[in-house]
Amino acid sequence: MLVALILLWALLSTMSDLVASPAESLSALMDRFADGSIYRHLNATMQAVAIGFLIAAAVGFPLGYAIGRSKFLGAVFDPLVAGAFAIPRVIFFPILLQIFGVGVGAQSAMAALAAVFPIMVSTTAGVRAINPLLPKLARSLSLSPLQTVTKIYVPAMAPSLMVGIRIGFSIAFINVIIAEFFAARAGLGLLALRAYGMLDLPTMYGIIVLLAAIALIGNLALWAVERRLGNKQL
Amino acid sequence: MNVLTKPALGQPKRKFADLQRASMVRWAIIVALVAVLELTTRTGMISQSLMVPPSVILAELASIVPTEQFGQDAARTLTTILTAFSIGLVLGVPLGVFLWRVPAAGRILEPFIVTGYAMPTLLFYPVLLAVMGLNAGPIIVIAASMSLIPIALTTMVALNAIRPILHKLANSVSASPQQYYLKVLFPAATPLIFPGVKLGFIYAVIGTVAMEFILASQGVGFRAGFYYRELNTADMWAYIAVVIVLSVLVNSVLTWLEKRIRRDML
Amino acid sequence: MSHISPIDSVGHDSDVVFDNIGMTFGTGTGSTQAVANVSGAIPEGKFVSVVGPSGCGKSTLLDMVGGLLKPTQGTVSINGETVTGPRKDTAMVFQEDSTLHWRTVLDNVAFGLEVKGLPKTERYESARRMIELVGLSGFEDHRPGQLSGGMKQRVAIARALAMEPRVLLMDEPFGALDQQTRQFIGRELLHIWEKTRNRVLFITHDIQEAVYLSDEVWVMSARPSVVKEVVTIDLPRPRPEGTHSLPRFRELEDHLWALVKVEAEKTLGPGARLA
Repeated sequence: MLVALILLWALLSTMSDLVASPAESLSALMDRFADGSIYRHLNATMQAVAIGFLIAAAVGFPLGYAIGRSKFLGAVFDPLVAGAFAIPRVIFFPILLQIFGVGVGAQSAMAALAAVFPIMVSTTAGVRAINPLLPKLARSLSLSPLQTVTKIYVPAMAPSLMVGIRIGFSIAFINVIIAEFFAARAGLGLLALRAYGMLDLPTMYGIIVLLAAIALIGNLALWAVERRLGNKQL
Repeated sequence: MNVLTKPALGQPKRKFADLQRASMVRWAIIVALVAVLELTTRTGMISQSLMVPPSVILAELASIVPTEQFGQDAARTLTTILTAFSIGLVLGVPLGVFLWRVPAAGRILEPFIVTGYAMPTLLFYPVLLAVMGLNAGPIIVIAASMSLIPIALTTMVALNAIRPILHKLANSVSASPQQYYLKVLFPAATPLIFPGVKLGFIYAVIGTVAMEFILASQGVGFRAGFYYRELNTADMWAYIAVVIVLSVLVNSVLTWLEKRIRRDML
Repeated sequence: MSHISPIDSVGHDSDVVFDNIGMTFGTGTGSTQAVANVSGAIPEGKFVSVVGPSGCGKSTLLDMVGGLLKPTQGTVSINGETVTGPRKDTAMVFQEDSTLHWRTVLDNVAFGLEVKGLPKTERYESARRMIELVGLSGFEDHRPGQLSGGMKQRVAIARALAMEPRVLLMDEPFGALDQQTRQFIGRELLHIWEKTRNRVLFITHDIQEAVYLSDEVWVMSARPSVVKEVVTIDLPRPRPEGTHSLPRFRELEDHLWALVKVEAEKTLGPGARLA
């Protein structure tokens, strides 16, 4: 599959000047690593993704849990969360720029804002899907609220929590890149779009391949964990 | 709001009252939020260069909507969304059917499709810009690819979830392949496919507006970013409001449709 | 392997005839022979039930008549033609709910005719007749979701009857229903059948039900199944309320029980008891 894609890319590059060949792109990327100029950008991007994701997780999991547990909160907030989910959150980026200034802060905030809703949605769905006998079991064993959460809810919800983590990571990542495309001091997205502006196509393709690779590998790794958790539970 | 709608048939009254109370609380939260923003921006607690009062946004919106520029931007954005969604639907459903018919292909492609849910197709925007130029083309490609994935996935899952007895029934009355798909498979799968179609449409909206926002020559997403760079906070907010209204409207209509389909077909 | 032919004379051309059919699933060492050497016929206007221990291939037999399975040995013929696939003159009723939940009762009953290509007015006309026959008048515009399990099965029966089949194939149609509904709908089926007199091949594991409904009961053996004995049910028709308590009914029931019990013990192993 991957090989086929690379072959297709190579084929396209021979047909059009607008497509740099895989070899050219890779060597352009290697150059960036060799002279060390890429690390600043790589750092900025990864930092923003990590900070944004952590904030989204810290807010999204508890809120999603609360909405899932309470029928009333669910009835109040479900439509709001669904509505917020449908809004292209990047549209708020200019405001974040004004608050945080151009830099990693705005990027992190963007990632957090984008990722918090998918995390909430999957957590809520996870809580609601819990076998209704489990809370009963917890009560019959007179577990403390903390024990109920850590010994019953979290293990029972592990697969859907993982879905939230995976989707949250991806969304955080994508939104950081989009935000960097728009305005940034440093970051791989900025670098790619700057290369596009300077018509340095090999560099642009090289960086996009790097970005796709990071996203794909991160995603596949999280997906593998998710599947193992799922298998263990079955 | 919901005061005039009658409770659904057979639904307990208590549940309906709870829902009504929830919807009142929800609206109260929204109204309170708007009021707080109005107050804080008016009193200067939030700088007017950051956000203008909601009442000003509304006034700005009223003055923007009749302009020719708004008409062009809105038309561009809507046609892009609809084109992207149509492509996603026309390719996504057959892809889902294929993945269902050929489980081996489904298994091979599954990691790619699942990760593709969040697969950074958006990352390829600069590539498409380089190849296709600065027009609606690259945006349509990206928004369509984002819209296609949930549609294909839910189609596959929905077809897999059809009760085996329905296949046997179709077979026993010697339904033709066409009758089998049109009279049995698709009606049976529609209520389950629709959430995917809904998500596909929402992704088409998100993809279109986000790409316009990054770099485009027209469209409501582009205009919001444009006014940010122009430091025109009021107009920027007006366009942000347009995007919010559009998204919420799309979501509401689709949710309403989803409920109807569930009621009629499940 | 010896087999007993249910009917000594092979039936008429117009009948449903089994000619030494067998079914083996899989090939080589992993194969299982589900049905072996079954011969017989369902004559015009007869209600034939098949009973036997679970897993004895009763449903396999029915699927072969319906053209859903191709016998690996021998042939089934209907009206002198060999069955090679699903035919327009057979109709099936399954154990599971097979109603189409997005269609109204009327459109469910008309479904078979719609697939056949009958124009709307004609198919609705006969669908309405069948709905009345199965006692669902007034429910034409309801959806299956609003009906009970027993009513859904009546919809399925009406759909099958609407196709005016040469043979009606019923695969434990009441198997998923509770005992009360089951007895009630069994009586209903009998009334309906006494009006239509289709050929029926009825699979069941309920011996009382088989005796009550049938003209003939075929007892199948454990795997590989053959028809071990054909019991003619010589109870007079119509069969009113008290039929179950006739001495002859009890006699037939006991006889069938004994036959099935022997076969079930073979499947379950020596010393096994029936509940």
